[in-house]
Amino acid sequence: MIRPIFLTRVFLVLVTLLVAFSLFSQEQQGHLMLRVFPYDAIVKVDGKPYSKRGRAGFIYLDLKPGTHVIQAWAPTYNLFEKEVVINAGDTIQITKSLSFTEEYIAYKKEKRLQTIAKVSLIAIPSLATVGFTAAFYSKKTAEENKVHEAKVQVEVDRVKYENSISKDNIRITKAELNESLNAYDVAVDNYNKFVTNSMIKIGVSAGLTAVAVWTVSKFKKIEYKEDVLLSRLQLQLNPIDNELGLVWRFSK
Amino acid sequence: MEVFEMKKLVFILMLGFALLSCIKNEYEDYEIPEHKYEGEYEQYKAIKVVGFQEVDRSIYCDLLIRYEIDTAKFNIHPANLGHVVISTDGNVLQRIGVENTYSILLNMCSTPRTFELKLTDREGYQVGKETIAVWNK
Repeated sequence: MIRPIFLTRVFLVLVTLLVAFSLFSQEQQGHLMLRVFPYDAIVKVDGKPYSKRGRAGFIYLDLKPGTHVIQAWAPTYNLFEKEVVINAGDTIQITKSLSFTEEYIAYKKEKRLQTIAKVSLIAIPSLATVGFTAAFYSKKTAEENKVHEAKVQVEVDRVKYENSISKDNIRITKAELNESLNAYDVAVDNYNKFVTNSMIKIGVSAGLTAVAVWTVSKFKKIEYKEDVLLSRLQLQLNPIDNELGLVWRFSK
Repeated sequence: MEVFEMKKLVFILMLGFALLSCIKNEYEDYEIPEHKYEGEYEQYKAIKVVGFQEVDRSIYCDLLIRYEIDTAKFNIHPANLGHVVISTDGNVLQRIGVENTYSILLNMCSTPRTFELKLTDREGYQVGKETIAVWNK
């Protein structure tokens, strides 16, 4: 027969051991503060993804003492892998900025060059077309006015000439009319040259724009492809209907 | 570039030029018209002498000359008619407005004389041929 007092003592010893064990086991864990740039990078420790970030972008983890593998990756960045040894009670802080892959840098450079080439090819003739058109319409009225003024002068001199009745006066007014007709012809010639030159400029630049657009459309499409080194895809149970499905956990 | 696309490009360019040519104004060509009164005067006699008449036989013996102006055959504007110039022996005696058709020549009737009558326009150019009139008392 076991006495109740004995049972009580055993219970107290067990409780004391349990409390001591739990306290001891807490002290046995190490701490890892991990921060990776860019912030949306996929971070895994021992293959398990972590996305919840705390103050200053740190991921706080309590880990068992020992060696742990840290992995971090984001699209267009190099994969970062590091083994860390964590001792009980230690806190290790790691901050890492991922660097772009060489392929991505080369892709960006090529893309930038192609963009500059596209913009230059299209912008120069387009701007020339717009400029020539604007110049044409801004000067057109002035050129027309010159012709109009010359025409008015011709009309005035023609009336003078037709109303002349004496020989000398006819000769003088005829000379004046002849002069104003020449001025009118020059003004019309200048106007025609102006319109023709503008027409050629606008037409050629518009044609070049069309050729540039066509050329740009034939440019090789530059794409950047890379293998997904780390994924946030996880198999999870849907909390609503408990169906198994793929979940993409991604936080910006 | 393929041939078809080149043709399209040429067509677009030509269409552009055609559209642009529409905005060009067309201005008329002027020519100087012939002037009715521009040429030289015809060589007809413009003055016809009607006759002489002695008007004062006292001391000086003045001579009245009557004439008619006929510009029907001349290409002259009526407003451009200037004067009738009467001269003798190369000396101009009188310059008379065309509204008059006679003149009194002072102290001219005593001896026979030859008078020359010319019609001029307002600028002094002679209209037609001169008319010779002889006074023989």
